[in-house]
Amino acid sequence: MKTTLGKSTALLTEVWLPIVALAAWWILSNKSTSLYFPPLSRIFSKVGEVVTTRFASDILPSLQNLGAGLCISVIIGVACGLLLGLVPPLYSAFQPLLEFMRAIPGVALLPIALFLFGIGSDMKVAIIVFGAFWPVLMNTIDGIRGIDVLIKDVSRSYSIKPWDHLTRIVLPAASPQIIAGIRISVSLGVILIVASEYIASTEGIGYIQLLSARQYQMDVMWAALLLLGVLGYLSNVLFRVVEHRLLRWHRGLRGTDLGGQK
Amino acid sequence: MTEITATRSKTGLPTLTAQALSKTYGSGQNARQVLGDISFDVYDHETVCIVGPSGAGKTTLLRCLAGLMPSTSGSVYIGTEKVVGPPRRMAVVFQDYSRSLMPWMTVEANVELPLRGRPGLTAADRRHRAQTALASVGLENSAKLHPWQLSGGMQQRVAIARALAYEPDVLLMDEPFASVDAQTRSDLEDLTHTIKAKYGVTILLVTHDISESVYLADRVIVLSGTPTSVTEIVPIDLPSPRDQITTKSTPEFAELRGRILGLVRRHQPATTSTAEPANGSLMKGPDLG
Amino acid sequence: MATRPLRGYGRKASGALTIVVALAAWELASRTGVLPGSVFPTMSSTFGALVSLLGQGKFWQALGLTMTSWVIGLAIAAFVGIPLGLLLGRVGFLYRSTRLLIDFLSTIPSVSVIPVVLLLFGATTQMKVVLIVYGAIWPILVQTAYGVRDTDRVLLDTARSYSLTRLRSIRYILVPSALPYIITGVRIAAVISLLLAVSSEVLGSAPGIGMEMVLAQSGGALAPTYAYVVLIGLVGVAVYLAFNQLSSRLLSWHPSERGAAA
Repeated sequence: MKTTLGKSTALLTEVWLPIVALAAWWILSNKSTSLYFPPLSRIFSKVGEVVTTRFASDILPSLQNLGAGLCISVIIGVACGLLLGLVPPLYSAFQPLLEFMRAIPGVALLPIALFLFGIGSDMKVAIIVFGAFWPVLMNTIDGIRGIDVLIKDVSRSYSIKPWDHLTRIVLPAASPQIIAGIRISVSLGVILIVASEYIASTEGIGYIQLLSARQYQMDVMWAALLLLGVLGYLSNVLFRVVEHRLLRWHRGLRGTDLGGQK
Repeated sequence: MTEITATRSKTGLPTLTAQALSKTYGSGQNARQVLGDISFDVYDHETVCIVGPSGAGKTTLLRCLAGLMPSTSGSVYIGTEKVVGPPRRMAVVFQDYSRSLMPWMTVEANVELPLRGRPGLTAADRRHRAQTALASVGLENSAKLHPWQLSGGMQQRVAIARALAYEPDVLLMDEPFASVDAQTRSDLEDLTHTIKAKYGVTILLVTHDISESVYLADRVIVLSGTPTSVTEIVPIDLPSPRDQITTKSTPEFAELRGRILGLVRRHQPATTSTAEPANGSLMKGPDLG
Repeated sequence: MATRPLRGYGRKASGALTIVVALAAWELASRTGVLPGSVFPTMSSTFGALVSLLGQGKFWQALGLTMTSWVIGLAIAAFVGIPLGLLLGRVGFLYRSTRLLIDFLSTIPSVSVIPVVLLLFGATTQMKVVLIVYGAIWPILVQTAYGVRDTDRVLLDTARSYSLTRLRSIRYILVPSALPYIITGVRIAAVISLLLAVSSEVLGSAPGIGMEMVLAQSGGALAPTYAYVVLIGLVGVAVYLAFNQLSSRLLSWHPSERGAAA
């Protein structure tokens, strides 16, 4: 009885502000005639309209390009990170070049990507890969370089086979950092898909948003913005679920470590 | 297996030999010699403990013996085989159990890991061996847990089970019980006696605890000096089976313990002076009680 | 430094060599036609364009505009974000109440706010600053709150047992112990701000170095476009290095110079 009460209070604390904010927006904008801030009710109905009528033509391509770009980033990033992390001389040789390349904001490459790939999915995927690849790469390298020497001693003294060493020791040991890198990549990927849909595109949620802004259809623009927010939020939540499952051991380990020290 | 039994000959050939082992870190002006000319033999079915003051390069010695680090000169043999890398016939139990077990694997998977890819061993064989090893350290019911869900002493038992499942001829233990509390420590010492009796493995154990070395060993190798060398090898003729209470309260135990303590302290460097007492003849250590 | 000069020089030399080799490979590949000349300028012509840009007042003016908006936006985000973060971190009820809202707002891909601010403020520095503040405030806010919540209880109890005033315990205990987190937050925010400054110029045609790059691209001027990308990368490296310096100076007292949870 008491715990359910405690739980519902906790839930209430979490949700009251978002509800109040939403309600305030709804009420304040209800009779709005402002061009820029249409009533929330109209925005919501536009969200429904966009989702139902333009799912296949715009939402799906956005998701596909994002998914493809992120998958390629993760695969290349982890593979290159393994190589550079396991071969220190290679890393010290490439480090300055990599630091420079990753300092280029992905959006700054849009003009070049236009030269190279023209307009289309290839360009968008390429931009995502270039922007989202770095956090995975750098975190994989850091993760591998940070593996405890004792773990390496264990692996050597028990003559663990190279493949087992890689898949059962190196990758899991580096996984907390690799996953932290992927997480940054996911949010960068969402930014870059939107950016690439702004600059030269005929489809995508970003394209809908920019087009409607140009045509002063503010309700559609807000609807698209809300959809992008939901997309960003959902990708984050989805990622947290995956992380939660994969890194169960890591939380457990840290939990006991803390308990032991304090 | 047949090959292993064959090399466990009764001809008196040592199972493990350290021959004029020395190790120098760095070179030129920065050269620092840690080990100087260490030689000893360990025979089949023996338990030998290595004791020495802290900072005596015990871990360096162990890493050289385990083939994890090349020595500057001298060599290590297992039977007649020269050690150039980590030998298959040797297993190591490290001091820091919380870092030497893979936290992302279950206890069972940790024990099975070194057996993977070994020719002629099916998954079922692996499972069986891991079960047996875990049972012999009393952890048969913890196989599905993760190491971090266990207490420190239990984690070190897992590490021991992993070594046993590897079926080594020589078990190398690097201060294995230094990071657990006193009660767990004596339990683990007794466990060492038990597995020794059961598996007939040869044990070389590094420790800084002199009582522990006397309690466990057939012989104790006393290290000292900078660079470290073997001061004396003390035979321990206490009867088996040994017991925490009765053995440790015998006058023989106290005498051996006192003698080794004296050997260790006498050679402890009094200051950081680099002038090294030749063979430890300057014996007035600061805390010679 | 004196203890291991050789290895340090060796590493630097191998890093510099890699950059030289990469540049030479670029030159060679574009001269032999491996990289098509229609989309890839030679290395020498790119750096020629870069040098001539450096000699133009127009370039420095554009760079100045970009960096001005970056500095102002980041400063406002810090001045608002840090106190707000301290407050949220200190008052558990506020922290829990705002968590969902902040979570959602911070995962909205920040570039998707560009159409909105563009309509409201036009292609101006003001628009850029608003966009940067929006994007940069979240990491600062979240990190600060996290750092405050992570303050050692013993320190706070000490402050109370010596009856430190509230203001003093904030000044001498909360802020210093949250400082590593705050600095990490500002560092992340600095990188995001640069990304957003360039994005608003590339996507929203606000004046600055990004817009110059788009102008070069749409005029088909290959070498200057690439030169701009290299320059933006160098600005990114400079920002990165400057903040590394700053954090190691501010945190020199900190035993481990620990990173934060990000």
